[in-house]
Parts: sequence; structure tokens; C-alpha cells
Amino acid sequence: MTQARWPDDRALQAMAAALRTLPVDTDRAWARVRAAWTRPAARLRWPAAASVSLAAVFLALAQSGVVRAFAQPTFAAGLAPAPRAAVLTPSFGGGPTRPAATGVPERVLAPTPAPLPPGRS
Amino acid sequence: MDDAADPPLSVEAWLERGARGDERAGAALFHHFYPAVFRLSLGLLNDLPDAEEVAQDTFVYALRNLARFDPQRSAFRTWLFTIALSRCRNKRRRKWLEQLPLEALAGRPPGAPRAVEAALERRGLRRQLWEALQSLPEPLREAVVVRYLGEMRYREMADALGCNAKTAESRVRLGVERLRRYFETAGVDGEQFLAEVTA
Repeated sequence: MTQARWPDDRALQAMAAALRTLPVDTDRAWARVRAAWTRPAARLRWPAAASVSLAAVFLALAQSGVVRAFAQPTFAAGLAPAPRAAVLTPSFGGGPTRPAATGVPERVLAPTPAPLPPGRS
Repeated sequence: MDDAADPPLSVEAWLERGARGDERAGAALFHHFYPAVFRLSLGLLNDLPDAEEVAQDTFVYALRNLARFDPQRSAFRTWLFTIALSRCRNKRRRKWLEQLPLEALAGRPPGAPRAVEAALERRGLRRQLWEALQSLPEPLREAVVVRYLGEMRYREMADALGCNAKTAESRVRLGVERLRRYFETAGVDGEQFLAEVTA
């Protein structure tokens, strides 16, 4: 029955106890941790610094009203082309005639017969 | 924690002083808790330098953020284990990507570090148990390691693993069940092994 129950709590606790005998160099580790803990906070790296700078510039522009002007409806309307001018240009619709794309052969009409002389029916 | 001498001050007092930047309090906390965090990391990473790095990194983070620790939510040790677990997961993920070709394809966990083997042998244990532990899927290995190497109760485990206590218990049970199957497949005589372990 032991076979079926193994490894049980005792085996795993013994493994944990064995690991407690593992030598741990806490002094050397503490020297490293202490140095990192007491070191002043690291300066921002360049991507973070660049993001902060961009955000600062954007905020400054927003404050000064430059960005707001671009977002004004009147400003946007001034930049946009007039609808008619954009849609109805002189060349609009004046392109070459496209051939029929149906694949149906073109119908050939019989020539119109010449009018009969007067008095003939 | 039986790794450190009896503290002259309570852990709460160390925490309070440490949060104000008192180096002696920081050192006291470190010496008291570091071996447990290191063992937990070793159990999860199976690599001595990586375990040292993660355990030290855990303390650097913890000491810098002592003011954020809320004793109402968890014990300090549980908080440390939670930080260490997260760092171990990141470390394993990075290593897995770096070492993808050989060990991952071989489907076998790497052998136990020499120091671990020596410690197990001193106690008359076979390294097979350690290697079997390393072969468990990550959630089960974490649960077994936190339970036995971290010596945590299920409720504490739940906080550290981010699950509920029932789930933590069930993961430990499944993990031990997998270990049994591993040894049955390997044809290891459990009775003899148990006699060696508990000798």
C-alpha cells in the first residue's frame, strides 16, 4: 500500500528539509541587494524620456490653443474642398466609353430598306 | 522560519523602520526571509544562479516598496512569495524562449544543480524526487513547491498563487498524484524510497 501512496507528505517534507541544509550565502546576497536598494532611483531611459517630452509638448500646444484651432469645425471646413467642386469636375463622366462586359456578341441590325418610289406599295 | 536567529524586534517593527529607509531593519528582514525566498525560487527554476538573481531581485523590489505592503491583506512572507513567483514565471518564460531548441524538444527537465544533489544526498534522498518535481506542469509544480518548500498553508498559497484555497489544495493533490505516476512508470520502489527518506 505504501507504493500507491508514495511520495507522501513525509517524502516531500524531507525534500524541503534537505534543501534547508543547502548553503545560502546571505552576506554576499545582502551586499548586492543593499547596493541596489540604497542606490538613487535610476534616471529615465530615453524612450520614457522621449514619451514624457512629447506629452509635455502636446500639452503645451493644447494649452496655447494651437491644437484646438485645428480641431475647430470652421477651420476644418475651411480646409475641405467644396463638395460640388470635388465631385463635379469638368472631366467627370467624360472618360472613354467602356466596352460592354457582358460577353454577348454585338447585335448587327439589318440595313434599313430604301423607301419605295411613290405609287408602289 | 528557522534560518535566522530569534529576532530582537518583531517583523512589524522591522517593516515600519524599513519603510522609512532604516538599513538595519532592511538587513534584518533580508536575513530572516531570504533563505526561504531563495529555496522557493530554486524549486521553481532549478538553477542556482537564476534562483539567486530572482530572490535578490525580489528583495530589491520589496524593500523599495515596503510602504506599499498592506499587512491587512497578507503576511509579509506571502507578499514576498507572490513577488518571487511572478519573477520566477517571467524568468522561466524568458529562458524557455532562449533555450527552446534542445531541452524543450528532448521533453526532459534539466538535471538538478550539483549543490541541490549534494543537499539531497546528505539527507539520503535520491535526486529523482527533485527531477520528478521539475517535470510537473507549471501550475502543479508551483503549487507543490509553494506548499512544501515554502511551507505555506492553503489559504496563504491561495494569496500567493492568485487562486482560491480549494484550487490550491486541488493543484497540490494533482501534483502529488503526477509524482506518483512518474515513479510508477519509472519502476521506483516507493516503500524502500520512503524508508530512506524518513530514516
